[in-house]
Amino acid sequence: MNGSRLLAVAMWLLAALWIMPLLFALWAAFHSFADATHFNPLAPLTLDNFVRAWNAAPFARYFLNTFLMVSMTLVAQLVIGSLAAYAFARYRFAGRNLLFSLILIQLLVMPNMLIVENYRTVAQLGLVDHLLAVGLPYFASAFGIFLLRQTFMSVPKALEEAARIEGAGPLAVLWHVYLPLARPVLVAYGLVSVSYHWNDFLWPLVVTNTPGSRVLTVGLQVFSTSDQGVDWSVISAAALMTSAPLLAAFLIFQRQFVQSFMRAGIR
Amino acid sequence: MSAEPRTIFNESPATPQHAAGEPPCALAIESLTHRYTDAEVLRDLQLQLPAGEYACLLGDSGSGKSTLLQLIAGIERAQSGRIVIADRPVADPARDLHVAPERRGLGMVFQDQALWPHLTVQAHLEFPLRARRQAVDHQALAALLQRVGLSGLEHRRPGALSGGQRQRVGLARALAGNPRLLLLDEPLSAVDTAMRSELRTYLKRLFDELGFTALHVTHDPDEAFELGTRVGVLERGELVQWGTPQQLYRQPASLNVARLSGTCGVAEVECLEHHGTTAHVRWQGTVHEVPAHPDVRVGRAQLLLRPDALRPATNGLSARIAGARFQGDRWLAHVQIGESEPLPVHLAEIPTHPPTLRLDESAAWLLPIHE
Repeated sequence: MNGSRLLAVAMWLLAALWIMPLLFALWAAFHSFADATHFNPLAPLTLDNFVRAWNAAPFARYFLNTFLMVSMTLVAQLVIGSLAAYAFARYRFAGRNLLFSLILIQLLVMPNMLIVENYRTVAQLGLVDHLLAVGLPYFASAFGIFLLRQTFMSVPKALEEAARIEGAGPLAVLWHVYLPLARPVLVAYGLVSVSYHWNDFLWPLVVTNTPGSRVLTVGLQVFSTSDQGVDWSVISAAALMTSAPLLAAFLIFQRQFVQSFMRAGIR
Repeated sequence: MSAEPRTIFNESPATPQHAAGEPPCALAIESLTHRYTDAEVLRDLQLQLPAGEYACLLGDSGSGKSTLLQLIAGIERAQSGRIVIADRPVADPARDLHVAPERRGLGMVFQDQALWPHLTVQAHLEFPLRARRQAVDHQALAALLQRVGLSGLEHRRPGALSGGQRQRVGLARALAGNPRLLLLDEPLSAVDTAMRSELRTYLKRLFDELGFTALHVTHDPDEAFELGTRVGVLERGELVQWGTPQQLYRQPASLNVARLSGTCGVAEVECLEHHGTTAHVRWQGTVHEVPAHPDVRVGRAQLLLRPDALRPATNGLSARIAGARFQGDRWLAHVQIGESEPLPVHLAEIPTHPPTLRLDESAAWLLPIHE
């Protein structure tokens, strides 16, 4: 009993710690710069910060770029990941274990370690300052391949055999049997991927130079280089704006996401 | 990637397996041998299944019957021999021929049903047609659903069905694509006794109504002899016998086949002469001419006696009833004649005094003794 009470207290503390920056951002975004740090409950509310943030940078373009980059990356990851995972899960071919080991090793490498090499590759392809370059290094996701391979391996082989005998070729089996059965995992993986790439900063900063290819996180940077000091109210408004789509999506589909995470075993 | 066996779609012209006037051959297996790393699971298997027959292959676990189905379906790649389905070679390792499972035109019913949990009953039935890019005839599918007793359950998923209903969905799915050959891998072993009996009746009725060709593997002799118009017995990878239930009953290839195909007793006799299909034997001091297995040799042999081989008769052999079981319209008694082991015999009544019995020579069968 004492243990569970302690756990509950710890959970509340952690939750408070987690939500505090968000609460501060909400407070600051709706109050003027002068009121942002005084926490006066009677201070007047304002939307001025959002207007200033929106006008400070081409956010509409950044939103579009981010949406395109995240969608493109997710689609590529799902296509490449599911095909590779299917091959690793169900086919025997020369060098299979070696290839899979290389993919597992990739899981151990922090993406930021590869920035220089990735930049060289992208430059050779002539894709610097192109939206495609922001997503390209992530298209073949080791995590995605590993996760989907494990999921496909848990599907009874008889389900595939039944589909093959009833007339479905290997790709039809992947489409009609494996992918529908892996849906919770695909949803959970999709959420992880979208939130990671929506928030990714360093690589997009390195590989983009103009507003035409910049994404939201890089666009937000204009507020951190203010000569007159940092305006927390405008930064908070901009941060809320950029994270709003993700937050809204999570709140709307919360139940489905949590169920998918539980089934997929991703935390 | 070379994992998937090479698929050849332009096979050589069909190889006729039947003479004019005979029914076409739905399945022909020639010299099929298959090994796993440590053991030979199928040995020089030969088998011909005419179209329109319901064949049952009987074998214990490990006899190779499931491997055989996997080879026919193309899930396993044949190592030697040849498989021909509906006059079209589908596996011939000597020619590096392996037709992919989806191009063999088969249907299969699995022991554990192998239903797709995310699809409805209706979607299961449409799957074989859509996968083969055939038009979906909703009326025909509705009729099929009706036949297997699944009307009204079209929109249910497998999780919301009983075991028997799931097995019937598996059967309907396999039939929906009008397969050239239906494979059934112990389809009734995962359901309880009552459901098994009901499903057997369904299978029999469907076969009578639709007239498909089927190869059904099972370890249950009752199932094989109730359903099969042709029955095979597989022992340690060898097809010991392949014939009609009557052939297996009257002329079994071995004592094991005899016991699988029905009640029998065995008397040890002396074979005096062997003439190919008949032999003269001495039993209980009398010489009898009985049908005989070709491998019988002069000397010791086993006389197989079905319950109708010994019949009540005056001036017959005096017998002692060792036990009896009432079967509704008659008794199945086990009698001892002299020092013989108990032999089965059908009796209308249990007599008050020891019965006298006569051997009906045509109903007996002489088997060799394998030392």
